[in-house]
Amino acid sequence: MFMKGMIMGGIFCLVLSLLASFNPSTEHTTEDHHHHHLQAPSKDELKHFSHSQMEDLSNQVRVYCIIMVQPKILVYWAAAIHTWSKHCDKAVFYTSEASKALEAVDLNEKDDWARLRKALTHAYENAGDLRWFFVAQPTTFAIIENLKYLLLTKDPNEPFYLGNAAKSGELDYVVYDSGIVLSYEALKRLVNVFKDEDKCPERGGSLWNVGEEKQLAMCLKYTGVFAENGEDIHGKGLFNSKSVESLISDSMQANPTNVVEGCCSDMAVTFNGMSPDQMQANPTNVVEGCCSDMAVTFNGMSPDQMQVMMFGVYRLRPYGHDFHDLLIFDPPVGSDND
Amino acid sequence: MKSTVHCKELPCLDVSGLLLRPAYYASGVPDDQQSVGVNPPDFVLSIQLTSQDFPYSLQVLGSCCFPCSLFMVPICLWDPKVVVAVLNIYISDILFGTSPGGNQNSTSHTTRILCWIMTGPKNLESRTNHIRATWAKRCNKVLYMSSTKTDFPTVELNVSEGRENLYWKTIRAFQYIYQNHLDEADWFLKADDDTFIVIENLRYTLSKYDPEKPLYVGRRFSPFIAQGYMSGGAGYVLSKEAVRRFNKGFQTGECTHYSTLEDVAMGKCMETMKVEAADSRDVKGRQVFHPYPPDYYVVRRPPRPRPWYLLYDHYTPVEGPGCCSDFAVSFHYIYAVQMYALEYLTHHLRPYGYKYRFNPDERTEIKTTTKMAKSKSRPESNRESVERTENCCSQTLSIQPH
Repeated sequence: MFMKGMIMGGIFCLVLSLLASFNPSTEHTTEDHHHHHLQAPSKDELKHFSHSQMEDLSNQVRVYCIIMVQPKILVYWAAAIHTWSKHCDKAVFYTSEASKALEAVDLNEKDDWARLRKALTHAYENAGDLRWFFVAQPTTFAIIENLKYLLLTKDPNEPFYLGNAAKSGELDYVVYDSGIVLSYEALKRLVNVFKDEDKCPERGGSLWNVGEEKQLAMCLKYTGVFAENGEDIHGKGLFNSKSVESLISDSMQANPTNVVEGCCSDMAVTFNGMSPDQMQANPTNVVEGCCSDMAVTFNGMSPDQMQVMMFGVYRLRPYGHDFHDLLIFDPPVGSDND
Repeated sequence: MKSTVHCKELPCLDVSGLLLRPAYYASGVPDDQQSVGVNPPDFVLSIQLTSQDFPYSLQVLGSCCFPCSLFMVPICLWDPKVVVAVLNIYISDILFGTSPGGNQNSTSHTTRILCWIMTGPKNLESRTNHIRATWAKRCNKVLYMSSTKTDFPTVELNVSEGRENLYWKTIRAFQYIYQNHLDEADWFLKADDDTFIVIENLRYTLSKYDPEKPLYVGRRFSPFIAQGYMSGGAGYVLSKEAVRRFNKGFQTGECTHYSTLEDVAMGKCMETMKVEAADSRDVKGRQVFHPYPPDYYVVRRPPRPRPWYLLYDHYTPVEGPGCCSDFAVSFHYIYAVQMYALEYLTHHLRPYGYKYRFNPDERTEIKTTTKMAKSKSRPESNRESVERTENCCSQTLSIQPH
């Protein structure tokens, strides 16, 4: 009798544990990404890699830029072509309708969500060996080198969905304006769930008036992929929905006397030209205020401002600072404004 | 009075241009091979600096977490026993002046800059405040010139406010500087309270000139003055000798209050006193001083006749990306938000790992690095061994200000 009880108990236990591990909502063996902050690697973290490992990593992190455009905002389209998108490994423009002026993949689709779905599907099918996907609006300005640095030690075969993470009720989603980053695995799961009209309807969203950024988050959530906030090592957000001037303006109101130092984290050691006395009085690296030194995106700048950004980001700098970065990104071929 | 600075925040001292004979000792064992072995936390690095001006040996002790490449000695490595006072002068020249090794065509002079800002009581809060919070701290000395004395602090010039008195302000300002601060700097910058300056780039631009020569540097305009004159708004710089001559001119009556147009009038006096107008453009012929904000120049335009704001330029202006040097020094009509935005773009935001197209000082040290790797029995590349140290700066650096 006792033995029977033991065996029954044992079987019961086994069955219970089997049931517990059976989770119908996930179709994978790796763990879900429930952490909400994704930080850039620190110098210490990178110290452990050898020179050749670093080279491998930097060759691996290559970005397919998906830039959503429309003929009615041709000037922004042109601005993206001539400025930041040259730094993508592959930049593809997806339009709602064809334009004679500029080349793009014509999705022939007016609905924003349907268009995004088509663009993402197209990108997935044409990825080649690129494993990271960056979705931008026409008014987005991105610094792809800083995106690559952020993603450097992340495995694209894991599901990543990141940018400027926001919350809408219970839903964490990535704000569209400041750029959406998807790893290959996340995109793969997404393209698969597109086929499921219940979980991820193509037209249903407009009925509920849910923006496409939230639709995206909901679909991804079904596949076990969650939004993460991209940050530097000081916890400063790297994806911005506003322009530099707008963020500075905000920071000025919040920190009346300490705008830039309040503003931005100094990731690398920089020479601030102060005398030893001054340096003691004003310790550097005050982490508050507006924007990170390694910011990835800004939004809402005019095409002219984007050209000025190219100069400000890729050229204008103080002579004599040597950052000893552990990676080298070459300037794009056939470009003269960077 | 002692100051302590955390060594992580100090730059590397470039000694590559100096004749140096490094000797690396670990536990007293001399090793005069030219390799950089920084792995052990304790070592003595002895460098003999045989440059003319600094014939002292510098002994350094300890380890440094700051990743310096070959020929870049981390400043935090030093033994306070060894000629500290001299080294302070040397190091402050390196930090704030021309590095004797850092510039191929430099002589052994320094590049200390005194900045004076032309301002007034109305603008202290709305404009000058933001200059003080951003670029002014990089000047060796900064003076805010106004009509009244305040705790900002401002210097009181015996001049009233108003556009018609701008040149009077300039005259009195340079007089004040000549009488009180001439020995504190080599170059004297005049800027407006809506001018943004990149001091490091100004230093770089001026490093090729001798401050004992009568020189006048800025954005050169052609009209009115034979040799041209420098735009006031874009900021201009007088060499020490030029300041002497400017003041002498007013003493002897050779220079007068020629015009209410401050920059033209300065140009007239410079011409009279035989101060030479220099070409401030970079090695690619790109402008360095700008009388307007960056969007006036950098934005691509179709070929067209000179717009009104480029009409005065002495050197043929270029519109679009070729307009402006990577090491630009100034922009004008920059107000509060733009001042901080430029500060952020210049000194903070950068593309990680980006290999800039314009590298005027590209050296061959990369090749030397690989050579070095062979001489010691270190399996990793030399660059790695310099960059990675396990025990980061446990010491703080003591500097005695002189």
